[in-house]
Amino acid sequence: MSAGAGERERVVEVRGLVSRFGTQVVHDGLDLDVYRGEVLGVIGGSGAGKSVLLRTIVGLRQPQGGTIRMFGIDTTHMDDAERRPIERRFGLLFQDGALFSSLTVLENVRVPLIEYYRLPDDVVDELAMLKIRLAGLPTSAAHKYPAALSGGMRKRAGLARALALDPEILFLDEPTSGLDPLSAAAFDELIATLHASLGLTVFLVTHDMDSLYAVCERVAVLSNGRVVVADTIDRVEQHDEEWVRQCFLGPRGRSAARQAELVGPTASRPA
Amino acid sequence: MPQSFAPPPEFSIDAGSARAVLAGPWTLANLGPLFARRPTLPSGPARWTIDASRLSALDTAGAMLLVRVLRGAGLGPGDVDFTGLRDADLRLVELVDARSREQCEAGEPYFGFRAMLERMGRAVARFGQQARELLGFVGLTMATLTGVLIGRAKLRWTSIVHHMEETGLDAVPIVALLSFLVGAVIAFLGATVLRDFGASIFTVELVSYAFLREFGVLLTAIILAGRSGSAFTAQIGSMKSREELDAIKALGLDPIELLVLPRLIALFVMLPLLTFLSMVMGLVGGGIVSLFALDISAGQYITRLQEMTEIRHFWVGMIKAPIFAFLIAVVGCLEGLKVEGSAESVGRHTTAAVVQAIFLVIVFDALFAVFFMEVGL
Ligand SMILES: Nc1ncnc2c1ncn2[C@@H]1O[C@H](COP(=O)(O)OP(=O)(O)O)[C@@H](O)[C@H]1O
Ligand SMILES: [Mg+2]
Repeated sequence: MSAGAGERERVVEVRGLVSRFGTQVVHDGLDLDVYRGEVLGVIGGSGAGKSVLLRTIVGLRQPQGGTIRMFGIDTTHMDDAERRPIERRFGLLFQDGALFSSLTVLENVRVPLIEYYRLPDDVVDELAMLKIRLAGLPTSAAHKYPAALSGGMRKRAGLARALALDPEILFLDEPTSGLDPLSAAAFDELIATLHASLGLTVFLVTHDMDSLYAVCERVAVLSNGRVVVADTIDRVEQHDEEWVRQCFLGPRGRSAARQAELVGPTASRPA
Repeated sequence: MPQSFAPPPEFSIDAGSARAVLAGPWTLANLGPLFARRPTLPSGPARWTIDASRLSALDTAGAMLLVRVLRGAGLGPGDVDFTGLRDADLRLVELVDARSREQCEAGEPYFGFRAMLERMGRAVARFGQQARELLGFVGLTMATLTGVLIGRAKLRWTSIVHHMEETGLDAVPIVALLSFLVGAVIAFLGATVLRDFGASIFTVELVSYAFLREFGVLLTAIILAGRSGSAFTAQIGSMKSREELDAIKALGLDPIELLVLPRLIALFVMLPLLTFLSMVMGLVGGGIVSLFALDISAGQYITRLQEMTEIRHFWVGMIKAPIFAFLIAVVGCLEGLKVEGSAESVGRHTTAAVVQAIFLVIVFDALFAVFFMEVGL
């Protein structure tokens, strides 16, 4: 553990998590902490259980063992009604945005605002519009239907909806997969900006080594059902676990590291 | 919930010393009442000081409210002095101010009388456009069909046989059962009304005229519109939404030849056959009711049929079958081709296909009825 991290507030604590599908064990006593205000990158091979971990933390899936605490509250076995006040404190971006296809972008962002709070109509509109712009979408996109948007814009719209309730934590599942390198870099930059200006905690599942270097302060590596290492990226690079070595010392890891040295990380040093 | 115990957010102003005080949690969860009160700042010559030392929390909603209040007085965050505002919060206010300054264009109005008129106008215009599209598509299909006849395009036999099985053979049970039941119902109607006049025997004519001229073909067409027309739209539509149609075109193939013609030809062959089945089953249904409710024996029923019902009634019904088949197939395929993007669009166009096909079938049936009456058939 890096020095000083122990004193920071933990917004998510996963202890001894066990997830199984039939006989297949996905998580086998997994421990993970997320500290307030950090950007945590979660990496691991395909099928390592990153998405399952994310879905379990946010309560879309019941674990077979272990506990999950969010904001210090044990949420492992909560029912839907108990979960609602917790749910409005985090935002979730699904892989393809998961926008409601029968609603425009603006209406999509309005949904959580209307569902949770009683606000005048024009205030809801203005707030939704603000979130759309914070997510980096042009205002002309607000009245479009998801089908009329490109992949990158759909993700931004999904992000706007995830930001609607001013969450404390943002969960992102491979937000840059399927985007071209330029859009992916722009999305990384957006995450870094939002993190710095809104003080968000970000839980970022990713495959993208560039994102890792660009925005993550801490990196957790999932392998064999556990977190083998969770630390700053410099220290994770030095770790001698097999998958970690291959990943960081392979061609993609090296070029991403070189790139990061040239431009410098954007998130860890907010302006 | 912790926030229900917190003091409510407050905004108070002291115009004399040009001070405004923000207090409590200015967060989305708590701001509803304050937003509804629409606080304002009186504009004056003095430079306002905003005291945020008792502000316990600020999020984007709170920042937006503050920006609104300032903008109401024609001010920005740079035109006032903040005291006790944390740096991070000031940055948030500035960010929100910058982002909400970009002009936002209004969406189309959706409520109100004028919006309703507008929607009506659009619907009428769309109706005309749809009719034109349908005509255009009919022409395209005909051209491709001609291409097949002169050997420029290929007929896809495997596909045709597959669709003949799907739209024809698989529909036999439902067409047979429904026709039988409707035939029985018509015979019951005839029995009830005609018995009072002592003319029960005319039930035979009632059933045979009805089924041969109208119901056989109409019933079959409506069942196939719901069963096969919708399937055509859904099949072609989901291919379109997965860009398979573009792939077909990119491979130098013709979607009309590959997807539309086999379905059209299959329905063209099967709908008349099913119509024949429907006529037979309707007559059987009528016959059974006649036997049990009216004591008309099977022999009597058949003799009466032969003597009193001319064969032309059969042809009047039968000639409509290929035309209805054409309508159903063309509408189903065209709606499928109009699908774009999402899965929701597939559902919408499938509904549209069924409604349009049934609409067209009934309209054409009425036109035929008038025509046959005029020519005295
Ligand atoms: N609904 C499910 N049913 C059965 N197995 C599943 C299910 N969801 C995920 N898995 C399995 O769990 C493992 C982890 O999946 P996932 O978390 O999606 O991987 P990734 O790390 O690539 O996101 C995979 O081996 C997958 O086969
Ligand atoms: Mg995954």
